[in-house]
Amino acid sequence: MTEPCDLTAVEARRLIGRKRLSPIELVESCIARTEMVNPTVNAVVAECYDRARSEARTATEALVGGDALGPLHGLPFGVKDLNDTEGLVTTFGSPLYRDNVPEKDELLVAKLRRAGGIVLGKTATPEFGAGGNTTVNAVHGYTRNPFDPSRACGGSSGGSGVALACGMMPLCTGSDSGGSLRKPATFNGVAAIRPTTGLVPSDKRGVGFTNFSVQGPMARTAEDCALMLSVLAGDDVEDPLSFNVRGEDFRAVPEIDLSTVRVAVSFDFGWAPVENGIRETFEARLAKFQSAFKSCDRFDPPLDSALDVFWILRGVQFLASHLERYRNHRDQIGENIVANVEAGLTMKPEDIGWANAEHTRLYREFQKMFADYDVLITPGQPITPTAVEQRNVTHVDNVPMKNYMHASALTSSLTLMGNPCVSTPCGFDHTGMPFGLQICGPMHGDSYTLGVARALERAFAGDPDLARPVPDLEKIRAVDE
Amino acid sequence: MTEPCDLSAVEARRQIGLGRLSPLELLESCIKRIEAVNPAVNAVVTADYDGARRVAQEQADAIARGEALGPLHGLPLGVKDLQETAGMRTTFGSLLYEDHVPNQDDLIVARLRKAGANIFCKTNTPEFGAGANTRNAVFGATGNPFDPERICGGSSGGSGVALATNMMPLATGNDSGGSLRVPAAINGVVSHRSTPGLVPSARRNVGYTNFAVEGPMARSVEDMVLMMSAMVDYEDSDMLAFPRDPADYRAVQRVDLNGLRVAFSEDLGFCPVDNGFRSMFRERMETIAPVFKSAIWKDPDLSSVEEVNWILRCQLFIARHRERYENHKEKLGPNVISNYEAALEMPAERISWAHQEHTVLFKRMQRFFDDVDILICPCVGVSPFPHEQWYLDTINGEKMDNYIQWVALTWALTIPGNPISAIPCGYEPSGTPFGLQIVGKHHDDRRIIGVAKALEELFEGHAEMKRPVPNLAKLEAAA
Repeated sequence: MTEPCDLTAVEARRLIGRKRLSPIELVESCIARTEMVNPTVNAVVAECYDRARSEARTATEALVGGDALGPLHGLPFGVKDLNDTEGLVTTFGSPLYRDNVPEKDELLVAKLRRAGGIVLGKTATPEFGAGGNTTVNAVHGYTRNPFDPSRACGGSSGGSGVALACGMMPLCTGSDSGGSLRKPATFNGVAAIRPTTGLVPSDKRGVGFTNFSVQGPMARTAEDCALMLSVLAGDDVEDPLSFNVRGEDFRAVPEIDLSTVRVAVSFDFGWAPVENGIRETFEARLAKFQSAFKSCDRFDPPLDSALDVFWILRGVQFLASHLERYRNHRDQIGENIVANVEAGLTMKPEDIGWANAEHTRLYREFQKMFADYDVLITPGQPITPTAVEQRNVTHVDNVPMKNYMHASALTSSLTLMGNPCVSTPCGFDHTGMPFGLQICGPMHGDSYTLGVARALERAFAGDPDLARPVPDLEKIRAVDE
Repeated sequence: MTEPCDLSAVEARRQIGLGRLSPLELLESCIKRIEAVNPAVNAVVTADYDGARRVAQEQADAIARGEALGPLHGLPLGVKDLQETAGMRTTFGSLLYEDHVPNQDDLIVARLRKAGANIFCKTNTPEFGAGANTRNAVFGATGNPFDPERICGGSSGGSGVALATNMMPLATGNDSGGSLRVPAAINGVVSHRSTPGLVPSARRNVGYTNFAVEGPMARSVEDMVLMMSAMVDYEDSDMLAFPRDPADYRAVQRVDLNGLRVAFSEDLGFCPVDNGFRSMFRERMETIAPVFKSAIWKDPDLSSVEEVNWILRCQLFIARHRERYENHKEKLGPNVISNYEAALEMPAERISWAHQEHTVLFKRMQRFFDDVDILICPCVGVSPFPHEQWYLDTINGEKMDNYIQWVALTWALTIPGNPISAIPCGYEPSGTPFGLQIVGKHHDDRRIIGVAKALEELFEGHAEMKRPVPNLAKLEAAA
């Protein structure tokens, strides 16, 4: 039986608009689901149910009053614990901020609230979002994969991925530097879009002129991502990379006829670490759906130096974000932060200068592929989820990794490009965990890329090998003590 | 008597569209002016007149056939020698590229050509655009049309001089630390440094920085906007580009000065500015202040900008010049070498600090515009010095630290990256033009340009603020 909390955001919003579902019912359903499974998976690490209930009552009254309704009217959402929420504890996964209660929402939270969304709680993240293999931190412990609680849920937007997979809420925020929207989306069988650089402005990026960190929507479908994106997109003077667009232009997902789409398929860009089991799964899935496209060619975009460029630029950014903490609170920060800061301190000005120029050269070369192809499709993630305890990926198929970002090259290389990347679920992998695709579109082609993703979702529906995986909630239901 | 080359771009284009002026006539008039005046100032360093005549003939034929004409159809246009022109020598002011003939146009050159501009010559620039004294080992110095022994500004110096002397109605420039604005000010012409990404560039070799911006230069704001409408459009090879409708820039937005809240700043709080310039600027601004809704004297807080600029600039020098420095150091000039060597001394920690502080400055500058609509400050704060000197080393008796300190008024505003129009405002005390920077909020380019236009009209009515015009007869005689 479908509970209200299992509805898509678009469907729930439609029913709310027709007064066939009340925000109160929806919020209660989400709370009940969270209470049912969260003790096992630990996705939601702070809640504000009282405030959510009160906002749901107000939202329900507005329906009766015939008020104009925002695009997210009455929809509960989860906020990644890296995002400031007014009046609700926000730890960044760090003991330094264990009791931090912000006085004000950060920009994306404020936008979602203004559009009628209701904050239900905070979703778990690794310390300062560093380290995407597993979501764990010294404040909240482990967040677990709902398909197998002994396995990692990915990160750094791990709590959001798990909360969505379990139906705790229809929408969640996430952010992504090296793959932090995309990894938990794939590992938990949900959808996300890393938007084109600058489309979703942030008032919190410490280094403004870089395309590394991007905020974006997570949901269970491409259409739900678009609904959320339409609220987040738009110019803001706090973000030097933002530009003038009308958010509502992103709401409707264009109908894409897959038989018109020219696809480039890359397993690994020719060099990125990808597990054999994932390669085989991808191969088998492609065999099932590639005939739907106009063309589907094997093509590796030229990204050979991306790993070195990413590592150097990331080092510089870690110094900007964490050097002060490293110097003054070293005892209270974790190993990933320390390792990144120390790597940053050793970087030479010649290498940093080179990385900035090489970044630009790679970007320009990469864009040329869109003269011949409409989208690039890769596996969503290079590995199947590891054991939940494994902090970093040190080996892929027994090949040692150079540093802790090496295994994320499949996603971090596309971060450097700044093109929109949509994560779409696509059945199960060789170990029975969710498998997904990364669909990368042309710059500013966010709507188009979401359109391709939705067309694939429709094509995949009904085929057990391809359809979005759903966790067995009975298996992870909290048992009464 | 007004020659065709003395017409504004808008007027010349109008007459071309009406069939009253042919592209050939206009081109010949521009060539004649260059031949008369250029020997005295050395603004145009490469030209292809025969090729341009063939293009002008084709353009005249297109008019005769009744074809649809581009917005710049038949207008001769000079391209700064830092920008590549297909089939026309492009030296970057460097001995390393003395005989370099590109196969391809730079993106904006291609756009201007497509809009109908007749690209007929190259204008001088310092070596790789480093510095505001337009002088290099390939072509020598470009002289100020108001006093040829003195500098004309830079790095788009050749373009500024060519416009001031009516050698052509439009010319290109680009600007990292003031290279569109300084030569506009020193030669009494106009330019616009746009919000980064609005006018995309396919050749910025560090994509995520707001330093280098390509832009239009002209003699009037209206001409400048005509040119800009052919340059604005999305381009995926520029990481900062964003979708924008070029039609937004077809006409100047009308702005009433009486509705504006204005802040004046004589030195942005820290820049070296000659004392004579300070009192002159104050006097002129007090004269126009009553026109605005409100006018206050207020400096933006740019306290860390000097250090941020220097560190980020050094990083750009590494990205741009590493190969050359390591393999051809003997062919590089003193500005490039000193800047590169300073860059090698920067620890990663300082670089990351600068990136972060850059963003702090950006945000603070946007907040400045919560209370005012427009900031007006001088473009250049000193009189042009002899071009024999590489840069100005002393202001008001104080020694300058490096070769870019005397142009702090412009690079200080590059760092936050706000849009800026540069417009002339009479003469400075030593008898050459004085110019203003009109600064506004991020992405507020249309309004800034509208304000520039309204001020241009206002200054027309004030003898001491009118656009200065050089004495061409004197230059011709000197040639």
